[in-house]
Amino acid sequence: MSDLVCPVCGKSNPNTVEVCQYCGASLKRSSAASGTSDLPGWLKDIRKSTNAEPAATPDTTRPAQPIEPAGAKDVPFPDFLAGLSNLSDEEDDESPDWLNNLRGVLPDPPLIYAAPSMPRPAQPPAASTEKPPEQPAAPPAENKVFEQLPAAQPQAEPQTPNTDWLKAFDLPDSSGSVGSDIPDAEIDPAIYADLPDWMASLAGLGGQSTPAQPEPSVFEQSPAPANEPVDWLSSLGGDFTAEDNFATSESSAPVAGETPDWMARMSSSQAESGTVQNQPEPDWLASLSSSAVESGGMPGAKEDLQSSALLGSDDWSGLRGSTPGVFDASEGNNPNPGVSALDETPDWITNLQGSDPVSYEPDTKGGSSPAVSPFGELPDWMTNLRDPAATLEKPDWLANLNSSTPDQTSSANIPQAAETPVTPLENDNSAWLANLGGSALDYKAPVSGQTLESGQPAPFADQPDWLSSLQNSQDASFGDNPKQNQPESHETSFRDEVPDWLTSLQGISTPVDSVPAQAQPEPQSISDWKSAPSVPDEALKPNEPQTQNQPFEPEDLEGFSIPGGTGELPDWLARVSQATAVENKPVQGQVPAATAPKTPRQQANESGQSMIGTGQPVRSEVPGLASESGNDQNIDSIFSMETPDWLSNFLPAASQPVSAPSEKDSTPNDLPAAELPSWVQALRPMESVVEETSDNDEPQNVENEGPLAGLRSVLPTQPGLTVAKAPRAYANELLINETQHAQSALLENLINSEKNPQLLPKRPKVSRIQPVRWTIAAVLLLVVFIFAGLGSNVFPSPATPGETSAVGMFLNTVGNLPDNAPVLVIMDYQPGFAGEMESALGPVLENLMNKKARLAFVSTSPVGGLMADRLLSKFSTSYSYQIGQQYVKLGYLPGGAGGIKVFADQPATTLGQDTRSGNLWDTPVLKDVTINSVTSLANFAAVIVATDNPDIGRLWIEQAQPVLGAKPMLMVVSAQAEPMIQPYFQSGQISGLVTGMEGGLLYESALGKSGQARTYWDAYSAALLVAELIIIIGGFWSLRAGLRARRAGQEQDEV
Amino acid sequence: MLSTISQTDLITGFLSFLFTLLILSYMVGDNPAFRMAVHIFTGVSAGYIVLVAFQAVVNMFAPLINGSSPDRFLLIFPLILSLLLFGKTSSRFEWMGRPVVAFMVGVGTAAVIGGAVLGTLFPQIMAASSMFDLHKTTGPVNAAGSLTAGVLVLIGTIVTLIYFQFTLFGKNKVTGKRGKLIGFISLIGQIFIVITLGVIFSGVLSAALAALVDRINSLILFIDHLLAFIA
Repeated sequence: MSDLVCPVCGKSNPNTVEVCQYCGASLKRSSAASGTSDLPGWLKDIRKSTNAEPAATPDTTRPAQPIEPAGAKDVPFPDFLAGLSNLSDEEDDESPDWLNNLRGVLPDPPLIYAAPSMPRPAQPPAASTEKPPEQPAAPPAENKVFEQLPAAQPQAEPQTPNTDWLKAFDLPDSSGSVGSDIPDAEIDPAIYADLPDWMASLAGLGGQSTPAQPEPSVFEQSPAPANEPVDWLSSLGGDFTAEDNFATSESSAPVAGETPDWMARMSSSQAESGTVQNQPEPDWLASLSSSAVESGGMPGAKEDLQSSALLGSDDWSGLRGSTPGVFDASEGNNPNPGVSALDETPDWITNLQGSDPVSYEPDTKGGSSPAVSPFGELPDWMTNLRDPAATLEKPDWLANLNSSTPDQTSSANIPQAAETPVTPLENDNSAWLANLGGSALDYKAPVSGQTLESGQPAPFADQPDWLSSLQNSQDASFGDNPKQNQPESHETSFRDEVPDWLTSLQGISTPVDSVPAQAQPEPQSISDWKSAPSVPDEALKPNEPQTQNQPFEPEDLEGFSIPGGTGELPDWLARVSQATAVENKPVQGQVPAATAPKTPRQQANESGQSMIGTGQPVRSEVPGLASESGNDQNIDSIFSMETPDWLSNFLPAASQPVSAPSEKDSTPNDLPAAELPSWVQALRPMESVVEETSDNDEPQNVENEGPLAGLRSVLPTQPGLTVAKAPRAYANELLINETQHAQSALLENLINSEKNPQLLPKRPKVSRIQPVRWTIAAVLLLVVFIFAGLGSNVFPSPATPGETSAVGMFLNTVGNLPDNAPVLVIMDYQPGFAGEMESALGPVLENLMNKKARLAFVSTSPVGGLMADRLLSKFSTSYSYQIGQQYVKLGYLPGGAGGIKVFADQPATTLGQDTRSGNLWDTPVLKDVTINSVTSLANFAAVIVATDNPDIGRLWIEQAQPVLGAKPMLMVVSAQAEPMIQPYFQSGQISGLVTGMEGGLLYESALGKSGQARTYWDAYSAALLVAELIIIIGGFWSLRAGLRARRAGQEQDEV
Repeated sequence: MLSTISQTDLITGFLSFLFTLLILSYMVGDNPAFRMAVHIFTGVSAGYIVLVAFQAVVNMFAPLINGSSPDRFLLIFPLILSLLLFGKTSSRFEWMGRPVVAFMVGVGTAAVIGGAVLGTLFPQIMAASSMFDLHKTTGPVNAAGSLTAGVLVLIGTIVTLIYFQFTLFGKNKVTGKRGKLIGFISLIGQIFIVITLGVIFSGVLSAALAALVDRINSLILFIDHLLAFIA
């Protein structure tokens, strides 16, 4: 049986009723409203799995918490948290690895809060009852905080927006410290039964070790607006904007009215029931709640709480639920303790609340709480955490963290650390958590009227529970800081961006010592877990007036660092930190130190960029900015629809806007070496170049984005900056005179004429008149055949040659030769002219043979000797001339004119040396040639040159005739050579000349013999006659054709 | 005569007849028979010439064997020059034959020029001038004839030489044409040249007709011999 929380009044009603017993509101609709319609999918799944099982199965192993009402167990969980609570019990082992690992490396709470003499966490009674000796027996921190609240910062209340949930968290602590009506014994240690060990240890140790220090309650100072719900929760709650929340807080409207129905119902049901539900809740939640209660009394509890709130965690609702319980107990002024906080918290959170007094009791009373959670039921690792001896096994960095926390509480820096504003709690509030805060406020309203009027919900909506517990415990350490009355608006900006869980971790691990005296700006885009510890010191300073709307300045984050550095962090966390550091480095440089930093939203508003991509929707939830940008809050609420907290918390770190780092901030000490690619580094200008360029008057633009970020004047600011000069005009015409122009034209024409092919004149076609040719040939052949075949003497022989004629003189010369005289016959005619030559030379030789002349044949032609043999053969029958006896063949005389010259000068040395026959000059034929051992042509009686070539005859005349002297040189030549040789006869150089057929016939005629010449004479004469006729006919034919052609041309010209 | 024709004469007569017909086939145009006959004549003539030339060169150096010592000594230089002349067959040793060729060209040119000047130019000049020597003539007719012949020869010689004068002077350079006088003289020179060429052509024609008659006569003789041989 679970009670129903009235969405209107927030009171718990029995499950059976449909109408609120207090206000008469319908409970059905609110129950339905808190259904699964607006829940994330993962929560729906959880609910489904939970509903399948008996959700209301009582946990028998868990003792009932004293502060819980009797019917608390029967009060059903809120729908979506119910599944979580069940799963936490059943699926404790299914916690993620990182969480498990985190458990092992979590800082040991005893080291943080407890003294070395702190008992083992496994002994809750002793641990809870014992009080660290070094911790003063002061009232709980929350008590002091709430006592100082009115005086600490009353004026900052209206200005500093506060998240209601955080306030709700702080209020119980404060109330518990001030004067909790809840006895310590009411805190049921059984709530630690189901908590994780480590969480339980945190709770127990925190309660033991953290001394109760006066801590200014931020919730009282600030209006505690619950106007910044977690996105998805905001979506569940409708258009839940910061502005609305802020207005709501100012109007002191019930927080439950602004919270989602389901949450409001939850709170109301819990409030009405007045009992802490004993629903099966996770062990870790239970322990966390107890630890939160315990830490609430410690000096650093408040600070831890604040730091956790700064980180904007959402998921620590259980812890917060427990916190009101503490608040209720401590405040004591709550007129309706059963309704204040517990009525709006889920059951399981209410159970946690029941544990708060347990953890709180030793703080408030300064002794160990007997109601400490049963550590015997804690897991081992949690037990180890509780066990001081287990701290020996902690990592160093955890040890440093733990050790640093007491230091900060006791050191002089604590006040500075206490200056950490608590305001960021407003930023990450979720609606339901805000309701929780509202419930707490409702409970606290009698104590602090301002706070009640503000009605701000607690802002711890974005933080996991376990981390919130850590924060809570850390807040206990911060609670010692009296200077925590700082406005919270300074830290809202960066707290929004910090992941919850990591923020909580940082809240634990961040030592206050590391906070520099003067806070330096830190980029807002810094990752959450790193940004969390970087709480500005100035913000931590108490009583320092700060404007409510002043956004968070990144400079405030500088100086914060994780103690021990990353080397002491776990590997994964160190990697994350390194990566985050790399990402943050340029971001740090973005914010100029001299200028007032601007929030990302402001930058976005200026640049017109959307904040969606920047992942900073949370910043719009800053209450201080709510009044300035109400529209942005609406947009943020839209963007935050259906976004889980854990996912939305990742957004800022995932997409941080990158701005150009300033040179002032980008000092080598602040920035690590850039991991730009080598090629990009190569492109980066050298400093000298940069300086030079910076000196130029030209505007230099600094690249803001991309790999060229930080470079100046890499790209031209304007495309056409280069001075565009008009091209110089050049004349297209050449300055030339007339002559040059004419010459160029001539050359151009000449070149062009070469390109044009010139047609060659047609070759006149010579028509072959084959019939005419054949006719001429036939006529000649016929004539020759007729006259040669017939052997006629039709044509008479020419008349006897005259004495002065060439043939006559030849006859006389030969006639004058003595008998048996050596005669040199030069046979230089070709076989083709044999017929003519033989006709002419034959009678001469016959005449010589008649005189028994000794013939020596020599020839300048290779065939001369052959012709001699042929001619002699014709007379062989008539004359018995034998070679070597009557005639000799001296052979071939080579060398042309020279040979003839040599032969004429030295005939014996030139020719006549035969290897076979010996020296021919010694033969009887030539025996008279060599006179006195001198062989000379002049020794021959006559030299007869028979040739058909006038040149050969001329050579012999020119070369040999001078040598002959008085000796006659006779020539027998062809008819074609006669015109050339005739002058030599006229000149007297030759003594006689017989020319061709006619000369031979004359010679025969003179001799009175009929020889070959006569045989051929008729045929020759007839052929010659025909030839002459043909030539004449041909001449006339050609003349006639020419006349016709000319006449035709004239006619064409006339036409 | 026909009875004395031997078989050798018949074979040679047949070959003469055959090749004569092949050559005469050119009347109808270029034909393989004509080309074959030409090739055969060319080949046979070349072979015969090589043998004759080799025999003549070898015989030229016969005194080295059977000659006297002075003859042998004198033949050393022609022998060396002949051997060097073989260097012309190789591009590498071509330079070796250059002096020999130069020597032969020089000697031949000198012989031609000397022979032309002494054997043609001066005698012809003397012969031409002798025509005007009336003292050498016997009788006025011969003198007139000789003088006329001499004048014609002189005119013919002058006008022929003037015809080959192509250099222009004066205003003829502009027109590019000969003057009327030179043109007329050139024309007379052309006539002398044409008559000379006509005489030469008539001699060639008469030589050709004599050869034709010889060939036709040879054919007729072969046929006569053939018929006689057959009979």
